Amino acid sequence: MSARDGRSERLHAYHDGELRGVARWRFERRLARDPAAREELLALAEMGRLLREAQAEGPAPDLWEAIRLRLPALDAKRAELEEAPGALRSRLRSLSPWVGAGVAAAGLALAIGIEWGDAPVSGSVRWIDSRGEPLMVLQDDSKATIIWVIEREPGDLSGRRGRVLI
Amino acid sequence: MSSSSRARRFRVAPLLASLLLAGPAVAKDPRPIEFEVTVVHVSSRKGGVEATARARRVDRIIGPQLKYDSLRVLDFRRRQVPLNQIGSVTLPSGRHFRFRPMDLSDEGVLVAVDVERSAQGDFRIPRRKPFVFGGQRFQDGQLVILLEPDY
Repeated sequence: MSARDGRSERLHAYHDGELRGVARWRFERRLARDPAAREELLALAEMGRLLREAQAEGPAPDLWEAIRLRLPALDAKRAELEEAPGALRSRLRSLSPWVGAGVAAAGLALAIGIEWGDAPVSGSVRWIDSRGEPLMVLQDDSKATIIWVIEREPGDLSGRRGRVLI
Repeated sequence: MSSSSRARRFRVAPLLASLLLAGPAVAKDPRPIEFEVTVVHVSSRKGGVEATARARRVDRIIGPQLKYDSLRVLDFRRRQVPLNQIGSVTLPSGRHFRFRPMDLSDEGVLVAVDVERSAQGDFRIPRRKPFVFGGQRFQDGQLVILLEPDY
């Protein structure tokens, strides 16, 4: 190992907090009189920061939106099929790869932390998630579906007496 | 081979080729689904229902369920969205209202809906049936979004 390799190794060890005691003290003394080593240490720290940021970022927003909008729908479709098993048995058979995909999607969604609501299968609502906010399905029949999310702020109309059906 | 059978073969071959090339797309209707998106503001401030046919229609839909003193239409858009594509409307609040038709059946179109920083869900919406999503605070009242598919 060359002297340069040795210095680089100690620099990485120091950066990673692996140098202890006298070795650490000696290396800090060296750092104090070696501008190049200090620059290298700063570069290491910056690289670590960039790596942490890259790991913290999710997938590209457009791609993620496309996936997120697709995942629950697969499960909703499966729920619809399960609602009428006799009539739709042949469709289930033909859709079996999609059902499998739906189950896989559900597992994936659970793994990445998507909340799944208790979706009633009647009416229009198949699945809904209000991200923790109170939510009311005011109407869900053949005429209309009315969903109301209650943002807990003044001026909320949905809590007024008379017409809101809970 | 007679000239008539050869001619028939030439007529049938392009048809078969087009069916084979089209593949599963034949089973799926490629036509986009038309969505009407109406954005309405309701509030407890006196003002009544805006004197337009569209506002009065929205009032007839949501009036029985919600109490408000003013209603006005802020925006109305038509969007042609093919299956599995995302339609988007920017709300007056700056948030995005996104919807994605996923499946078309006799019962309606299965739509994944996402209101930015609010709720999301899947809904099977029959043709021309209003799907209403409301509650997002805006100015002195709240926004109500109506989504109506036509296909």
